[in-house]
Amino acid sequence: MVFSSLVFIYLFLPISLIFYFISKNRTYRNSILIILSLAFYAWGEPVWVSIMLFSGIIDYFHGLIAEKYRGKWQSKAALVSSITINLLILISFKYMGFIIENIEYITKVSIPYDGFNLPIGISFYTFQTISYVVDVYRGEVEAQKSPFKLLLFVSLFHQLVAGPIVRYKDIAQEIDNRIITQDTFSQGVNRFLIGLGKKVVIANNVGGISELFLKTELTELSILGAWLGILLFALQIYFDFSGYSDMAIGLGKMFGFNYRENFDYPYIAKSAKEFWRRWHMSLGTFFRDYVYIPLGGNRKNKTLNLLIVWFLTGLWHGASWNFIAWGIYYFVFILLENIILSKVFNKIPAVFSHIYLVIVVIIGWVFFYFTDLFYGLGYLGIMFGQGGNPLIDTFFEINLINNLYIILVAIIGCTPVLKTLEKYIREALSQQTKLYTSYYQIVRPIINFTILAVATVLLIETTYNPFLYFRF
Amino acid sequence: MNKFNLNIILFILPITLLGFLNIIVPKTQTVSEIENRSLKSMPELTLNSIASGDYFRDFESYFADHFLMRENLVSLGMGIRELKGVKTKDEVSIVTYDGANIFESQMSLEEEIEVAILDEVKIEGLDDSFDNEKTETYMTNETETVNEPSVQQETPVEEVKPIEKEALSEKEPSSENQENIEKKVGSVLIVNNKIMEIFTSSEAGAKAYAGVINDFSDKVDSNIKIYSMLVPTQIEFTAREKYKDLSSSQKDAIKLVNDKFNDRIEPVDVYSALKDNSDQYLYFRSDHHWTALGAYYAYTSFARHTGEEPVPLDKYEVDKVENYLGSLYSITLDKNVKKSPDTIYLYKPFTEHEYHIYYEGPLKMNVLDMSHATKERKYRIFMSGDRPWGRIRTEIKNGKKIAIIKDSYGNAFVPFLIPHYEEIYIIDPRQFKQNIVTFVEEKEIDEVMFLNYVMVTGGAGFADTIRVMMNN
Repeated sequence: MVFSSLVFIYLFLPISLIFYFISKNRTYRNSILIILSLAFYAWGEPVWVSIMLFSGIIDYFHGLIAEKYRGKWQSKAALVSSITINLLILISFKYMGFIIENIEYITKVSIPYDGFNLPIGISFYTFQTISYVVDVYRGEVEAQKSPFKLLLFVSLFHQLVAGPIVRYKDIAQEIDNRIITQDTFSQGVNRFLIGLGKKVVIANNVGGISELFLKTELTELSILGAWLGILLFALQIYFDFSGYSDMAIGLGKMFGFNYRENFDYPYIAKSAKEFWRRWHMSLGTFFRDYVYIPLGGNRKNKTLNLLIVWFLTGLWHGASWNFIAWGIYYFVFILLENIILSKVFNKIPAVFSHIYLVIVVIIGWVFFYFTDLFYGLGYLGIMFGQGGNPLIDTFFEINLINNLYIILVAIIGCTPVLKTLEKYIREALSQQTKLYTSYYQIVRPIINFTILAVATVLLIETTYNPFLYFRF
Repeated sequence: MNKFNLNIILFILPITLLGFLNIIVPKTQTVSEIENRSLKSMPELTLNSIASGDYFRDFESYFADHFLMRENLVSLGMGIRELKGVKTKDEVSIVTYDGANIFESQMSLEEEIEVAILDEVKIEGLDDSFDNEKTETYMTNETETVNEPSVQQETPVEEVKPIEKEALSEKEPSSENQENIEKKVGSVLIVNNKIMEIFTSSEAGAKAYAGVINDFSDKVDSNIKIYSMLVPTQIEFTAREKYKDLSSSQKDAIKLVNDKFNDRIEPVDVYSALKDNSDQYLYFRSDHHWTALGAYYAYTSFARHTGEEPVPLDKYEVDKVENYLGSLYSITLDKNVKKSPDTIYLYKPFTEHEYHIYYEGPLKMNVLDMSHATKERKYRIFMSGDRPWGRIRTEIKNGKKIAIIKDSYGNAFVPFLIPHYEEIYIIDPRQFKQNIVTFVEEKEIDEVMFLNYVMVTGGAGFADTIRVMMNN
């Protein structure tokens, strides 16, 4: 199930809230959360729920051992065992097909392999349980003595499917002690609806337009069409992913959990390095804390460490060479920035470094979008005028005009303009208590309700699926 | 909650209330006429469907398909979506859609019987003696087993219980068929109140189409004449001047195919006749088909090609059916088009004939089947829609037999051939289950025409269905 579905908003969520708030008893609430989370997960993956349970249970024991024998070899063994098992799970389900494909390619021997559908959220929960055991091993957090409470952490439906990657130590307190007030719940509602709007109103629409261009035959594409297509994909993936994180954070707040932010206006960054401090922050910090620094960080083999981290970052996004290429692509730019570019950027106006970043990121998405690496390179070729495609064509013009407003809204929405505007309003109103309260008690709720209504209508509209039979 | 918080109430109340109502309000609608599909029914709860996850996926579609006031909300959603940009002076826009399918779903057996019975009611037009005589002669030389509850037995209408008939008519089209069908993305151009399919020519598609007809010619008796009639669509004549680079030249695309034919295949040029008369009502504005008038001009080209004298149009009695909103309207739900629906003009055959379609055994039909005049898909008036195969026998005893291997464009065309042939076979490669070569030889057919609209050469899909008929 995804948050941006009618069944979630109009069935799962109200039922969850009713059962959750029916009693204030902490044990009851934790139990009901586990049940809801398992039901949420089982909705799409009834069988694979067992893998998540398995991962949770073994790491419960790993955590206990790592703590009990802290400083001794047993503790280290638990750590190694946890990492090995979790990575094995991840490899068997996510990367086995890819590995076999490459072995077949090199050895020219065909290996019979049926493969699995990727269990939902596996990339997230395996990382979460690894971080738990590592943090216990390092003594940064106490091991959880109750297997149920650990299971609650692993299965919590808010962040299970698409992150953020929540660390146990960040919410350890909240498992036992959550404070929910009207204000925090209301903030959760605000946040959830912002996320829903980002996903349904912007990402879905912009994504539809981007496909018009990204799925056009390369020979039929105009140069500006190629640029617009990938620009729209950049917008789509940002609104999709950050919208999903917003919904997760909002839901967390409604249920009393505070998750860390996952996005911070990445497209306003001025370097690739800064971009990654603003984009999917929970993944970046995971690799920093659990790979880069343990490898020696900036102190020794810095370049090699960077290469490893970016190789893994790419690979994490999908079992395909294009994702690895995408990771390495960022490695190259970050390396260049470290060596020379950042010095240059310090001397020239900021607008240049911003333009640099936007172009780097947009081109990066070409590698990300096309799982066929060579096709992606062909697309890049078109963008830079190879193949002599026309600069502009009617298809581009009509689509640009037909979708002008949503594209502008999406571009503005990537920047903190609205946030700044709201801040001004708040400050301006703060002198006048009456207006201030009416803004919060009336205007904002109405805005929220509008988002909910529009998103609902658009979700229903996408089910309009006329059955046609005349195309080939 | 101790004080009134509008933000929370405006969120919780709608989702709970709507969720609750969606569960308790009985679901009476099973078919969405405008979408031409059956709505998802409540999935069956079995261990298997739960384990595979199908139950939950189906439930989700079921929940969305039966959302309260769904059809109104869909229109509202379309309205909201129009805010995403600007339309130019001519109200030009491009709409893309998924779910363009190869096959029109077949009717169930029960529906066939129903259609046959409905048909009985309206056969009065035909002379009885002619009817019976005909029936007898070809019942004896028919090779297929006639195990249909026979139309020839003159089933009295009274025998059909009205309730049953209602239940049967709800089943069209069956949802099983819908799901096993290849889906493609297509796009249409809307200019003012005209919706037109955008055409992309394809070398591979042209090669496949010409190739399969060449192969057919190698397999059948060398005395059989083979014609190819590729019909251009409306966008070629109305929008190509202004939006030249949007849709490929269909003139070139037809030539591309014709150049690949071997010497035996005679291309019939209908392009010129349609172009010369393109100021007339040759194509529907809300549907992807041509009108009977368009088909008439193609017929005159064909008659001249074979050296026959075309029947003048004023020899036909004209009937008309108004308020037709066709397939392209149901994709776009375009407001301008809705305001000016199409009219279907029908040219009533004056030659005595009778028409049977064949699934298992013969079912008597009308060449102009007025039972569809009151339904949504009114183009099915022509030949009662796409059927695996059908045969018209006429009073013209000239011994000439032609087979038309066609897509739905053929349906408006075939009635004009009635004054020229003793037998006309109509074959739809998408549904025909026999070997076409054997069929043509067994029926002693001496002319074969491949009549399709040019869109089928945009890919290899349709050519593949013809190839399948040769290998059955």
